[in-house]
Amino acid sequence: MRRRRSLSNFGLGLALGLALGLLAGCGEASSSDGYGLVLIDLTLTSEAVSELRHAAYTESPVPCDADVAGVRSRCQIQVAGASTRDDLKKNYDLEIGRAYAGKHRYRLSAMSGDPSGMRALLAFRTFELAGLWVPRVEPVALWLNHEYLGLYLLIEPIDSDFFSARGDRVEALYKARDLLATLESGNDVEAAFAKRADGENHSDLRALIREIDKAERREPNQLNDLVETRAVLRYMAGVQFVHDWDGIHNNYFLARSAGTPRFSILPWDLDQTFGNVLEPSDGELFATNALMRLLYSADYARYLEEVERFDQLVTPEVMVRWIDTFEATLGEAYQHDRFLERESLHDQAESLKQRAERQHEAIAAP
Amino acid sequence: MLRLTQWFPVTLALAAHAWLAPTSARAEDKDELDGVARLFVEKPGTAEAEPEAEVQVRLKTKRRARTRAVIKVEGRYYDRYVSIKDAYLDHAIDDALHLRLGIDKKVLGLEYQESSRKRLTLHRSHVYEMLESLGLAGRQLEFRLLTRPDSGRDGLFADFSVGMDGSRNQNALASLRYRLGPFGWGSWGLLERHRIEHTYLPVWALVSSWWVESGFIRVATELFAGVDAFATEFERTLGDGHTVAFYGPRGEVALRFALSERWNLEPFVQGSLLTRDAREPEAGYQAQGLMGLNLRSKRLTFRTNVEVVAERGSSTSEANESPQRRANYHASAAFSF
Repeated sequence: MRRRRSLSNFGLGLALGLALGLLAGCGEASSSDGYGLVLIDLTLTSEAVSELRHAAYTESPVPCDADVAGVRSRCQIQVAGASTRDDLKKNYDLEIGRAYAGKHRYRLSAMSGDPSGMRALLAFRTFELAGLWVPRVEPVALWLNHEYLGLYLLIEPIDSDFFSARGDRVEALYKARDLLATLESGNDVEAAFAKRADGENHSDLRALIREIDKAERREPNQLNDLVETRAVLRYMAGVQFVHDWDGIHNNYFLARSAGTPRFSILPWDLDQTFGNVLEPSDGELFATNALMRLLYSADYARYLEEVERFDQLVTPEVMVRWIDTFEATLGEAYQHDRFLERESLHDQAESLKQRAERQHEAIAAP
Repeated sequence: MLRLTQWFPVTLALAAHAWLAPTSARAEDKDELDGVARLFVEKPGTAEAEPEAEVQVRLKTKRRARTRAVIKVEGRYYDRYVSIKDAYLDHAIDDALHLRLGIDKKVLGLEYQESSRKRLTLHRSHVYEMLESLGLAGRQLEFRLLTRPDSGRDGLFADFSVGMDGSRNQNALASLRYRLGPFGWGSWGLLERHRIEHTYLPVWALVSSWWVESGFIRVATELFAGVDAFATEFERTLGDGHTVAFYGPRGEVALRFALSERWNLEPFVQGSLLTRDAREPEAGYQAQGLMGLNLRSKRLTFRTNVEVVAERGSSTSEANESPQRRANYHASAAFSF
């Protein structure tokens, strides 16, 4: 009897201790900080972190809890990207239970090729101003298990929903990948283009490649029936304007939709931009894409019009205004990002402004 | 969502071989299905308490040609998540020597060596969670040689494995353990070729454990040391280039009181201290204390525990310069079948 009582006293004491510990937990403050941006605070079990660490190539999604701009929900996350899988600061695909800005799925881009944190923002805005469809993109502060992973971009994926949200219906959608998307040969078309919409089996892409080949050999062809030439020339001019060398045979989307039944191109993953200044006559840029190479030589006058249109829309003054805005917006998150903190955001911003001036001069030059 | 890894078809093909080969004549070899169903609630810090219902099912086939297939699947209701945890073949060369091939966890330390049913806490204890977060522990495709795999026996045990995970990290893992009655000792060592930033980084980890376990009391102490691959790579690319090695002790004490013939009450405490960077111990540490109470029968286990973690900085982040404190609360009910 005495033993029972001492046991129950012990249990009571322990229960009291547990309750006190619980109260201590309630008094703790969150350490995550959005640094003036939308805060994405992810919580993963250690097992899930381990699976994420061990699945850079198998791309297995793992469960998580997400707090996106104060809204909590369950989520799944997986490593994304191709050549960036081994990076210390990785890209992720995030699927959240409760929609943010109307979407459940997003790409979290680490912008590994961008020491300024703003190049993709500037490039997407440039394409958008010129009238191309671009994904919704927003800088965010990403935290995982109380650790600040850094400044990321939250990017709307280009998928069927992307077109639905813009009042269109996708008919075919392909993501160019692995530096193979040259449109030169139908042999490796599945490897070069990932299918991102139901119902297509690359046959339309093979037909496109056949017609490009005929056109290059100056044989009768139906390329004009398959390609939205003006839209592709506009994309090419944008690529030249922001020097998106990664968007020639790697990171872009080929799409057909109810509204645009012929193939057009959508930009994607624009962190590797604003490097060199190119002149419109620098046609070498398009050498690795058969369609772009063909249109550049066959329709150079219209291409030049499109380049000049970009230059008129996105003047150096416009670019300076955007850069100043982003410098102010990103500053705090940038300073706390351990991958970026050794850089000077201001120096990066000044460099981009100077590049805008030089790009304008290169296009304006006779 | 069910996602099979790229290795799974290989394992499946080998499992098919195990099914088609002649059946073992041993009476104790038979198909087995076991598992556990858990309901648990966790309250991390100030966040809302979150419930979860989890089921783990493990199928062990009958031995054919001395080989059996083992597949373990885990599903979580609220996470809407199903995954294959283990999928391997176990080939018994004889009673004392087994070979395993397939997807299995890296066994690094006492807590991985023992069954999760035996564990005091719902999740792994803090230092083991740290090993997982650093990518030193986890699941991978591996080839493993085990001596005397039956638990609970006295004597010397040794394991050796080589493996590769889905991030293309390659490793070798070895352990040596000795058990005599209630006393035990074990050491585990990992050598890994860690793929990072388009190159490979040599990584190691060591765990050494001593334990006493009788019907009434369990005491375990462990020492941990290893290389934090991510912090090291960060130092190499953006810092001073030094290797970031962590170290620290962990201990736990649990008592077991028999409440009745079927039920046991198991109060316990755990504690650990981990220095994040051996070169600058004062720069970052994690201290953890946990107290809990388990009520166990043969098939049912009720667990509750409160964990307090104090953390100061880390070798790579300046975000937490002042000590941070977090408290987590867990309660769970589990039914084993």
